[in-house]
Order: sequence, then C-alpha cells, then structure tokens
Amino acid sequence: MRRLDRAAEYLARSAARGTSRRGFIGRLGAFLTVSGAATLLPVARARAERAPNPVQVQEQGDPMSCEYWRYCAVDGFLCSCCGGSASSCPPGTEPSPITWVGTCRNPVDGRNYIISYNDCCGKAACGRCNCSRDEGATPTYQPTTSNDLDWCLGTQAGVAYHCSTSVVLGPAD
Amino acid sequence: MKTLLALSLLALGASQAMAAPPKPAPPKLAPLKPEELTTVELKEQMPPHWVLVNDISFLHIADGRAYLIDADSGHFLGTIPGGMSHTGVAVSPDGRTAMVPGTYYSRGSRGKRTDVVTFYKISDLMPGDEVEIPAKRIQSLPLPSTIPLTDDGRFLLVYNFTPEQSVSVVDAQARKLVGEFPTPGCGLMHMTGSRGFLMQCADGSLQAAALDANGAVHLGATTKPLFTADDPASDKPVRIGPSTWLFTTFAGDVAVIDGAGGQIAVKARWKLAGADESAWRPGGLQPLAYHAPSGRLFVLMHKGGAGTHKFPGEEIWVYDVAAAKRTARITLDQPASAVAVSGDAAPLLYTTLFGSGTLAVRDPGTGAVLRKVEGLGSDLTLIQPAPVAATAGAR
Amino acid sequence: MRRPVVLLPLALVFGVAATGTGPDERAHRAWVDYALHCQGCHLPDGRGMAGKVPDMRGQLGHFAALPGGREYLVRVPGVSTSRLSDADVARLMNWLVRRMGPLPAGFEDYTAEEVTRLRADWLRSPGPVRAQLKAAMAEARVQAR
Repeated sequence: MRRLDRAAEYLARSAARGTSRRGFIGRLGAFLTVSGAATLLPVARARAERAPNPVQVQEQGDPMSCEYWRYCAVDGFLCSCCGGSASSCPPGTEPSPITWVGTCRNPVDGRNYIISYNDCCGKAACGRCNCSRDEGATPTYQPTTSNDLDWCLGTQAGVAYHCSTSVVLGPAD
Repeated sequence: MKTLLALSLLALGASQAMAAPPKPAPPKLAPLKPEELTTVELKEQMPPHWVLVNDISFLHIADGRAYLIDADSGHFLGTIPGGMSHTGVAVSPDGRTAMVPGTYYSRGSRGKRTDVVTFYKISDLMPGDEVEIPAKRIQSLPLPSTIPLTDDGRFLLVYNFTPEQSVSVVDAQARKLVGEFPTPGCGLMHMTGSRGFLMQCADGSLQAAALDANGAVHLGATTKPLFTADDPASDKPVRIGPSTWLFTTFAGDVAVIDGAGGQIAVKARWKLAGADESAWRPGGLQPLAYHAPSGRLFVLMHKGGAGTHKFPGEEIWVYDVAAAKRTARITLDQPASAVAVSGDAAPLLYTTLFGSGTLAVRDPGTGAVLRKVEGLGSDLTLIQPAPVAATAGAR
Repeated sequence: MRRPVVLLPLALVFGVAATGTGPDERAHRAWVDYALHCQGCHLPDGRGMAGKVPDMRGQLGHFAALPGGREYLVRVPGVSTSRLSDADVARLMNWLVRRMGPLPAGFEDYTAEEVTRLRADWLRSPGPVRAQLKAAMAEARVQAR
C-alpha cells in the first residue's frame, strides 16, 4: 500500500515531462525538505526531552535522503523526515514490534548489516521523504521478506502507518 | 510600447462603452421555475464499459474509495466509500451489487478497529447491509485476490494476515459471516471453478482449497515448489480461464497453471521477453490483464533489473496466450502502474498511473487514447471493469 | 531477565567473531538467519505476540523432547517454507532449541538430511498437531509431579 510509491516516486521524478499537480508538489516538497532540514533539525533536537537516536559516528551520508545506505529495501516515508530518525519513532507513534528484516551494505566499511524495517504506527501517513527501494523484497505470500505489508498490524494503537525506520541489528557477514 | 498601446485601446473601449446607447430589452421568456433537489439513480446493472477505479488515498488512508466511470462517455457516475487501506470492490456476477470489504477505526485513524463488508446496490450506491468480519483483513498493497467472490456470487472471501494467515468467508446471499478458516503458510485466493481456489505458499508451492455447500473452506491438493526463491512468482497473476491462472515471475517467466477439480497442473511455461530483450520485465500494481473473447494478454513492461517489480510500465506488450506469442508492443504516452480490459467483444483498454489521478481509456488494438478521465482523487490503484456476466446481459 | 530489543547480548554470550570458524561462526550464522527469516514475527528474544505468534521461550525444548515434537518444530510452515537451505535450517534449529530451552537430555542435533525429509511434507494444518503436543506436554508435567 504505502509500498506502491515506486510509481508515485517515478511520477515525481519524471514530473518535468508532465504538468501534473502531484508532480509539481512532489518537486516543491523535495525543495522544502532540503532547505528546511539543515536549519530546523538542530533546534528541535536541542529542545527535545528525548532526542531522536542519531545515526552512528562511523556512518556517512544523509539519513534524510532515500539514497542513504540503510534504506536499501525501505518502502515508505522516512521517519527521519517525520520527527523521528532512522532508529526512532516520531512522538506519539508506536513502533511495530513485528516487522520484516533485510540486509544492506554499508559503503564505509564494506560490510553487510542486518536492518530491521520497523514501522511507526498510530497516526496516518506522515507523507514526507517518500522512499521506495525494493532490493530483495519478495511477494506478500513470502511475508518475512515482503515490504508490501503494513507491519503496523502488530501494534496496540492500530494499523495506521506513519513512517518507516531502518534499525541496525548487527553485521550479517 | 505594445503595452502602452494596449492600455490606450482599453481606455478607448471603456469610453465607447460609456457612450453606448441603452441596451435592447431582453427577449420575453418564461421565468425560471423553482427546482426540486433530487438524487441521481443509476442503471441497475453495470453495462460492459462501466469501470471501477480504486483510490487508496495514500496520505489520508482512512478515506479510500472507488470511482464509478462510464468509459464510453468519460462521465464520472459516482463514488463507493472504502475505508482504511482500501483494496477494491467485489461486484456480483450480475453487475447489480457491489461488496466492499473495509476497515474502520472509531476515531478515524485510531481507536477500536471494525472490519465489515458493506453491500451497495449499483443503482443507488447507498450503503446497505453490512456484515462484520474478523478484524484481521490484510493491510497491504492492494491485491484483487485478497477479496475474491465465487463465480456464482454466493460467497465472498477475505484474506487475513495478523501475521497468522486465514480466510474469512461471507455468505453474500444470506449476508452473514460463515466463519474464519486457517491457511498457515499460504496466502491469496485465486478462484478456480465455481467453488475452488489456489493459494500461493511461501516455498513457491501452490495449495488447492475449496468451499463446501455451506461456505466452509477445506484444504486440498498441494504441489512441490513451482517457482524458485531467486525468482518468485508475483502475487498478481491473472485469471485466463474458469480454473486457469497465468502467473509471471519477477524476471518475466510465465507459468500457466490449472486447478480444475482441485488438481493442480502446470499447463505451459514460456517467457515474456525474448533473449535479446532481457532488460524488460513486468511491473506495477496491476501488471496483467486478459481479454477472454480474443485470448489476448496485456502486460505492463519496463526496462529494469532485480528489485524493479513495482516499476510502472513504459510499454504494453500484447500476447496471444494460446500461441504463447507476442503480437504487439504498445508504447505508452505516460507510464502506467495498472492495466485492465473490459470483458465484452468490443473491449476498451484501461490504464492509470498511481499518483496521476487520471484514467486513460484506450483502443486495445493500437493503445491509442480514446479519452482521459482526469481529477480522480490522488492514488489510483486497481482498475475493475464490469464483470463478464453483467457484460453479456446488460445494455 | 528479558532481553533488549536489539540482540547485542548475543555477541557477548557467544563471543561472536564474524570472520572466525567453528561454534562461534555457526552461532553467528544461525543468529543472522533467525534475524532475517524469523524474528520479524517471533521478535528478537522469541517472545512472539500473545494471541498471534506463540512464545518460544522455555518452550522449544519441551517440544523437541516429545515424540513427534522434534519433527513438528521443522514441519511448521514458517520453518519448512522459509527460503533457507536444509543445512541452514538444521544449523538454525540446533541453535534455537538451545537458546529458547530447556535443552532436553540427550538432544541430538538436527541434520540437513533430516530437515530435507521433514520439510518435504510440511504441515498444512499445524494447529491440531500443536494442540496434541501441548496436551502431551501437560500430561508429562502431571506425571512428573
């Protein structure tokens, strides 16, 4: 469901070719994300009672970008852009305890890591930083490795999907 | 300079207007009559070229819906509400009744969850009977085989994932829940014959199952794995016969599988792309459509490697399924994430792109756009043409 | 003591060395397979979710000790239909039975051949088998008293 965003992303990326409203908003949104991130985030963190988990010091790249190494099989909105981080849920949302798990290669040390793609749940879609990369994802009848399922089904708050995390569990090799 | 000239001409026009003689008296016409506000009623049965287009309303996902469109005229006929994580609509074989399996929360996007099947008459699109089902309906990318109806329209099946896998059965005639039946290890219901179905299991095997006269599910024959872990069959096959389904793998291999009488047999295997076309793969939300009267298969194809199974199609490849042969390649003016074809003898081809809000109605022979229906919500997913049986009888 | 969500203590327990061979390497591979193919639903420590996913902690060993129980653990759909090879399933199960416990006296490791045989005929209806085994388990407990 949110996992169908490859199409939306495709549309946004090729928006220059068309004149659709969605594509325009998509581009506008991307611009706002980039300009807003640098200025607003540190302030928010400084004030927070419990700051989002930062990415680890030996990592490189922008965790608010879909290209970030941990997101190799994510399909959804990045919690980093929604008040959380790659390993923190935004305030007032509940992490899904059950989820699907995959591996991504960290370009800094060249090692594969096990990544848990827990969803944050209980509020409707955040809508920011849509990211759809389906490396190694399988159909829904192979659920342990499928990103087409709403894993919020494991929460108490309900299934409303808000955003996706990418939590490092450990080296896979 | 030009601007100045334009302004002076405007001023001239204005002064002439002031100097103009009085307007002639309006023609003598009867005054407008007071009106009575009415509500539209539709035909009782869906004609062949009516089509339902589903909108998952991704950013406001508690408010999914389906739009009913007359594809001949491009007219927007009405809306069927769908609730949270909307999948689609099950239309009775006679085209008179729409059944919508839906999920609702007492506080919109939170609170107590209730899953129901709501019955609508096509003629009034008014919510009617409601059957509460186990609040376990799968929340996923929309797949038609999560909400199939038996061919006789008697039983509606709903696939559950909690992550325990099961099937809820609703008696669409008595309008009550029959029960919930566990199907561990397997998911989706691809209908075969009048009361049978095939499920896809995680190891790439298939599981046959059937409903008895009361609607209870009984598991039947199983197969060895028919697909490899490296190149799984997609969960979006297309039905090409009463008990026959055409599956495609991520890489574009075809397997035609028959489940007649609860026995599962692979009838044919072939490839969508030729040896020199290995870059091309099937993809999208609804990548396959089959037109039974002509035996034609329509496939959304894109160029891409592993992990691109959700990419929208850049072209539609058309096949003669009986001959396992491609007969046409249609280049699309805009990529498409869903394709469907009406079931009548003079069919229309439909495409949409998730996020576009536009349904394209095409000539299935050439792919030429006959008309576009625009402004259809935000996140169009599955396209559901009128059922074939309705097509035969309705006008 | 309940294990934290992330399975870091495991590295301490087994002294995981990713590049090594022998028991440590086997344990690490088993953990990786558990993480990738099981823990999404069973959770990192095997507690599952009440009413949806059974709690394996302190349970697997009891199953493994029962006639038919050892076979059941491999023939359940989640294990049999996984994308793991037979040898990987054997390695995973040998690690998991010990980890979830209690390890039955005289427990013999699963072999790849045994897994091949068991998963060829996986359980399409595990519920009744599970109920039978739970009943046998309860009876064994009564007799032990």
